[in-house]
Amino acid sequence: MALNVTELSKPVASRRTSKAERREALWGYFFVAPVLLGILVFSVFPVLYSLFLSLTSWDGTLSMKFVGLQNFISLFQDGTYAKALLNTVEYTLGTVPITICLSVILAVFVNMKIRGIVFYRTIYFLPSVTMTIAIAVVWRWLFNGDYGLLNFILSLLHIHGPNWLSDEHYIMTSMMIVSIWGGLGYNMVLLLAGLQSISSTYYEAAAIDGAGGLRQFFQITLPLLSPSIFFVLVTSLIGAFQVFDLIYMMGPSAANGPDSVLMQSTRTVVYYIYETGFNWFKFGYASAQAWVLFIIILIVTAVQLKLQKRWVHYE
Amino acid sequence: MSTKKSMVRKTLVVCSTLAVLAPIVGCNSGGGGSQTQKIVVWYPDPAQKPIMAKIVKNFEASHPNIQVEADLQSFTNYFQQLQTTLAANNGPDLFRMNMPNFLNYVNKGYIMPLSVNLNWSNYPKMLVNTYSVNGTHYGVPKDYDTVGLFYNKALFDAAHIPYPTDNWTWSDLRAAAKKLTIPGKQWGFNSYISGQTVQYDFMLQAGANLLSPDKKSTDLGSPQAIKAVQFLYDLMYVDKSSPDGHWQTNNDPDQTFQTGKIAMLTEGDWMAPQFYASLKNNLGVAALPHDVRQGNIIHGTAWVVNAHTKAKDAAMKFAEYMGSKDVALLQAQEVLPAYNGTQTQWIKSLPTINAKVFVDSVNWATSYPSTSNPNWENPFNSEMTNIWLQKETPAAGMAKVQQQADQILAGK
Repeated sequence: MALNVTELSKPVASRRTSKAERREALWGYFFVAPVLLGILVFSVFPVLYSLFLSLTSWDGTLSMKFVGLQNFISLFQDGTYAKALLNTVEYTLGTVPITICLSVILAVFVNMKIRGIVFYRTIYFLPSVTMTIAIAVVWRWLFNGDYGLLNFILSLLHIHGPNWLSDEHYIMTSMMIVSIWGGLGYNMVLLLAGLQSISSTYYEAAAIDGAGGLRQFFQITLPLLSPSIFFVLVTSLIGAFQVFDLIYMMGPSAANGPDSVLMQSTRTVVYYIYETGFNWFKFGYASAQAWVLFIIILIVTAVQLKLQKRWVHYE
Repeated sequence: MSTKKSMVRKTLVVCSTLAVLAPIVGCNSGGGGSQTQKIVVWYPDPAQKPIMAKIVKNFEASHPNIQVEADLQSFTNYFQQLQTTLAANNGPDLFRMNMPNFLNYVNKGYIMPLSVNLNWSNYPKMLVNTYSVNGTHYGVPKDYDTVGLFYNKALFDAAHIPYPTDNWTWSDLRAAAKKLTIPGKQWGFNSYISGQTVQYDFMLQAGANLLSPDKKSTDLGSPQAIKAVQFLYDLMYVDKSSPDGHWQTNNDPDQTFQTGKIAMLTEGDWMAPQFYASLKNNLGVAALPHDVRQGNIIHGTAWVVNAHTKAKDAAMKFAEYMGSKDVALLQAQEVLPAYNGTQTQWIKSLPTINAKVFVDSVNWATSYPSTSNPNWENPFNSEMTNIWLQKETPAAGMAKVQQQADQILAGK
């Protein structure tokens, strides 16, 4: 019956709606036009323009010189870029795995049906809706080597705390701690959504078969959560490779000089791009750096998409 | 129901169309219709906002055809924003300039030679010369700054030590700083990292010249410059009468002086009003101590006109007005105005301290070392951080500074 109705009404409907549909499509285009225009003007054009810029040596004056691949050649001989890349990899490896592991555990906990769970979820999510500048200011206080809360707590345990932000061996670790703390909530919410889409029948069946909580977690929760974990992993890695604001706000100030030990141990790739472009006004060189980073992220993401077949289970 | 919906839709369409067209329509009527010229002015100092508002109001009253929009910009990114917009052939019509960036901007063709009717002998010669290239004037002197030795009288009284005088030597400073230090609680002095208000001044006092006359090389690695850095370093790590490099990275020197943890520090005159607000009658100021000679860094800002301004006449008119005595007197509430004779107004605004030392210091002050490439200071900043964190000795670090700075100045 239902089939019949649709079949019968189909030609009539399509003819009648085609005009309306076209009109609607037109209106649709009209309404997305501002956004589309915005993307074209503020995203697509700058991206393509930066590719062009990477082939020039433009210092912000009105003259622009085409230099071919010279920027890319200098880039591969630039020790500062190599160090920045190394710092970025260190930051990525130091933050992404820990953040994801903790987020999974946290998501499982806030998925429990206990009193006041919304309160806990909110608490963990708070850093995600707080501005980086506020986070940086507060953490700079906590990390203060002389008067900071962190070293005060350590002193109660008879540990002499390090100079978190002025010792080149600790400064990157400090950034990572804040990054992990700040990234937990956002990942937790994504994973929580993944957890809640897992049908309870699996757990009921497992319970009947006598599987304990831990076994259930490893045999049911983790495999069925793997698509969400995969998504979080891909986006976190991209985010970590592009880290800038945290380093800019919390790391050494520009007054510390570009070659100070502090800057050398915290300079990430995007920070170097910023420095090159907006402190030294070498826009061509900065664009070349950005494109190399883009290629690196592209490769890392492609490898992940390839590897996902081995561990991500789609229902 | 459907008519209501379509009305909503129509309204939306009309509204969004209007929103899209509004800037175009606005532009057209503004450009073609009247004779009013509009200029945009950039400055980076929030403390001067009320004064700027007053200046603009006075100017607009006497120039009804010119409309001035004074935009306060963030200080930390001021020159980044400025250069980015100027590079895009955009930017404000008139903007505040400082010494480290001036020559660079002239070389890049961002600044227009002035065509204003001003008597240049009304301003300190040093300022006028700094903002001129080969006799062509590019900047209207706005204000200037020198450095003084600020001290907290309460801490001196508690330690029963006489206040600093204008004739102090380095050893007087060192001895007093030691006596004023209470380990873990209070420091006698603060050797923080700042070329303008600390290191450059001490280097000059020790006999260094910072830049060669042709601005092609430095003497930051000279024995005199090293002596100054070593002196400041020893206050931190030998006498421990100044907080050390780690502390400096984590804490703000001015704030700690205001909370009474530090007895003396060298700072620019622009900090006087703020220091006075927190320390009141306990605030004192003396001339900087001397070593083989007196030394002080004088820095001044100026108003310059965008080389690509579309309202040249209006911008020049406003620049001319900014060089007037009226404006100088208005500014004297906050900063030391450049216009000769109006400085007394500023001194009077700080009656409890000997603010005159800042004006007197001009007599032996050297202008801020500025070259056509502001990046020449990068090695100084980097190595100072490394020396202060004990990654490098003063002698080795400063030798590196000179080598790298000279390379940058040679254009390598």
